Amino acid sequence: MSAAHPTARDLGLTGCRRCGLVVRGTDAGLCPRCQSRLSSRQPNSLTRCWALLAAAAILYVPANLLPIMVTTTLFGTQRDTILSGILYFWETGSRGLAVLIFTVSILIPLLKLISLAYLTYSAAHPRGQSIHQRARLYRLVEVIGRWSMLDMFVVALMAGLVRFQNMGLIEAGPGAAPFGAVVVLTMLAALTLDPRLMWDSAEDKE
Amino acid sequence: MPPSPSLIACRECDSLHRRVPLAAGETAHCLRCGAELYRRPRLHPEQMLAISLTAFITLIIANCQPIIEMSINGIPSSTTLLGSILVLLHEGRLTLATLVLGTGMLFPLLDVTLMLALLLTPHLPRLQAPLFRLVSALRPWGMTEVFVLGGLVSLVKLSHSARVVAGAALWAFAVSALLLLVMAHFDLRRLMDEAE
Repeated sequence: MSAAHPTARDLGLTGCRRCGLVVRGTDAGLCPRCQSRLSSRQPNSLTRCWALLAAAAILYVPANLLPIMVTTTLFGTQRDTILSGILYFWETGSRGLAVLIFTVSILIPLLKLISLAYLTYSAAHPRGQSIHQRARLYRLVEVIGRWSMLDMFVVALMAGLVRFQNMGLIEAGPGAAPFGAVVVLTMLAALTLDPRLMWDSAEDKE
Repeated sequence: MPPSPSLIACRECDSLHRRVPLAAGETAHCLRCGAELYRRPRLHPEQMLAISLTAFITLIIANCQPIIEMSINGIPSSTTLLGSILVLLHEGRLTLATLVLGTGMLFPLLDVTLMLALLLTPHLPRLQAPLFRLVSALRPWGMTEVFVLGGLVSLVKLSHSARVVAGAALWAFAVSALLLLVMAHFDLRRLMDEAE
């Protein structure tokens, strides 16, 4: 227990993470005001987070290797993975867009997986890394994850628009589903990781 | 277990704080970890009601109108959001169709509709709690702002090989995204605090 900042749990209280009400007791139950499930610390938070991260890491492979968009024209069929779509933008002169899509579709999912794994691991095994930096990383991961959905929306719109009999047809590829799943799983992992556990284990280091 | 409305526990580090009154637009931060504790919105619930109603209307327009209109060799084509989702379903891309339906269409619409219900029924405390829970649980899954960027990227991508025009829905989605941003900045927990 840190003397400067006593936690609700130290004092035998629980704060509702939905509505903010502070309730006496640290047993699980329902918040008397908004009826959300109360938990002093989310049960099995780290284990669940690992499971979601493992699933996301596995799906990250087909998400990047399988084509997400299939274009058929008179000249043949072209299968685009995320990376080849980015290279297309780069080569046709839209370098800004290439960088944008590379960031949201490749960099953010990868960094998110690594960051969440690091945060989950260090919540259980703190080794003196700055807790304030880890807290900043946690908030960043929470905010940027959603932008990875960008390419999914692009594929959906292209498939809806380009439906010309002989002149061109765009379809979603088999890589789209695992890619979308990676985004959802990492968002769920970020929601499952209880940041209070990070601070609990950092307490004695302060 | 009697609740203590004068206290607040940090959502991120669980440090306990005593609430202090804030002026409109001010935010209270945790002394230990710096996370936001609570906020006094600049806008009144009545003003939020007006914004939610506007967002509802722009979202309806956004979902009915074409997002992008294009033509190749004089053959026109356009698509609405639902149109794109139906094409994906038709091609058997069930996962992608569900994701786009949820994050692009359903969750933002539900967010705004439930927000309207929440703001319109302050005198019905039995409805407030479930509405509050639903809105705050759904909110992170609505991705209108990401969809708008997706529309812009598609425009640029298609402009290499076809004549393209941004449809009315793209503008309506952009306005909706801004309004949803304002709505997300409104601390909903304030409504629960005031209901007591």
